[in-house]
Amino acid sequence: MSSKLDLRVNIAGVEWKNPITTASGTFSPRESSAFYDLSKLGAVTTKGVANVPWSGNPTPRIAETYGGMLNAVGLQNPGVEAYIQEELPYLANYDTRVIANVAGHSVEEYCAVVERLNDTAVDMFEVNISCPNVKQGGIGFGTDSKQAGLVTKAVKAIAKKPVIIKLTPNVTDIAEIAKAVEANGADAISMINTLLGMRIDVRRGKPVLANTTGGFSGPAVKPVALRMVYQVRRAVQIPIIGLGGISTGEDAAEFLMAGADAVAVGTAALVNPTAPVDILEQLKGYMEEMDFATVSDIKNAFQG
Amino acid sequence: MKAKKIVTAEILSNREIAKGIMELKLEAPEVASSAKPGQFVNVYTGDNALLLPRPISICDAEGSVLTLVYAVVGRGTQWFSECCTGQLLRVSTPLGNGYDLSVVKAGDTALLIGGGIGVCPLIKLAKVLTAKGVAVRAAMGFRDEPFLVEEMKAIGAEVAVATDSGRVGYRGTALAAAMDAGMDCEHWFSCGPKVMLKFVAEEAKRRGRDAQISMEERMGCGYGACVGCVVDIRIEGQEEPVRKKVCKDGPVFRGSEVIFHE
Repeated sequence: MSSKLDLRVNIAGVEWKNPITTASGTFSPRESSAFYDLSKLGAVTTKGVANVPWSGNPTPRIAETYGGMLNAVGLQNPGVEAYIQEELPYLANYDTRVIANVAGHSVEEYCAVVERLNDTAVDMFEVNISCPNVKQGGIGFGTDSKQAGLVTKAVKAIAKKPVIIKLTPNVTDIAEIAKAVEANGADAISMINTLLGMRIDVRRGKPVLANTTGGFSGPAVKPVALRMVYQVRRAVQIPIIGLGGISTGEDAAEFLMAGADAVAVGTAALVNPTAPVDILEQLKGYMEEMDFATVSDIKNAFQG
Repeated sequence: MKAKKIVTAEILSNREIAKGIMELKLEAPEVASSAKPGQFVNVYTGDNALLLPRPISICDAEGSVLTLVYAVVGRGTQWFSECCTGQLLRVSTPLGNGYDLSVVKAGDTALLIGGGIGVCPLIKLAKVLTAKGVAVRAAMGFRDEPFLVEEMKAIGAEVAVATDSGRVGYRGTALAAAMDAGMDCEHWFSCGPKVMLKFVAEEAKRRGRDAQISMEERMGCGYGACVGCVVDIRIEGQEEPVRKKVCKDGPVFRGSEVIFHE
């Protein structure tokens, strides 16, 4: 039935079999593959990895909100050496593109990870200049177009794989940041990271999260993410990986129409572990219903 | 077929067994048949505003029937409490590792210490241990109103009940009740509030035991993807502790390896 569908997309020279990937921080190769076959996805985006292990923030790190959630994990990760020894060999069992999300406190730290991963099976880098949960670095680079440009330039100078820059929505004008990273050589953009949020336990009179604030994600943020993708599409030429609250195939189609070239599924996969593949199937169903043969057909159908 | 999945289960019964404590029985053959003591399941509300699944420990699993006992503490559990017989609920297959029973053999003795809603997983545990030929002693502590005590006695366990209020049994904690009654055993298993687990771990250590304790932490996904629920674990010969996932690496850990922060 779906034989006439061609879901392939090309993101900065890397061909994906379909436009669905996982959102960093919500995907773990072994844990996620207990629920579905990773080879079904166009790409998998792994958790933020730094040059050395990071222990992250204290608990509680998670809070539910209306139609969404807050997290303040703080990029806990085992470091790039463990990533190379444990994650990459496991991912080699699957036929999918691997996007390594790169974390750092400084330009040097981002570059150290990229350099170490240059000659591995990683297909693309996603540089996280937008995590709201680390005090130093992260979002500090993503909220200033000059800083964002500097990180992009430095990483691009050494990266042997295409570089995606992940943008934060916690800025006045996201299109300006997008232009800065494009001008400094970014091969693609992924957007949006989480919105900075907070919850208070009114019985204890304390913030719910140990970190006080956290990143807001889930279906509730989708309209904001969609609007930003739409704005950035009109500001830059490079491919956009759209994310923010995608929970259904039609949500994915909305992002493609807004200007994304591929989409990432995040919080939906925490709620329903098979969400990335379920959304892919729903997207195919939508394409058949609409008589679309390719992802471009979806994008071209938008008249906004 | 993948190892883990979300299934739809029919509610066989959902009734209040103590104030604010509900017992939910589900027809869930795939879940019940693979359930091990100390594991938990993710249960989904039907309200999209309540995004995340609720992790609930497995109280019992017999044949195709899964029994969950939960406290009504928030909007999610309130939603569950209003569900009726015949209604369908989405529930995951068992998650987490559960208690390590490979260290227990026939003829051994086991002390089970539960506090509040933490007594629930001890039911399935007591059943499995008893079937293995292990003599089970259970100390069950509550704020005011006990529950699951008759179920525990029916398994054949020697039971001590404690309440904070003194309304039933020993006035004080389950641990104090057990120690006062001389219930020390070769193997210690516990589930309950963090502060109780800390005292259980310390008391066990004083007696040359290493308690298996089931930790609780606010979870996101419940299957190891989000790294929201972590606990600091001491690694022998290593200065820095390692942050392990309660949902995936636990929820049961050795009392000697958990670092409790006040």
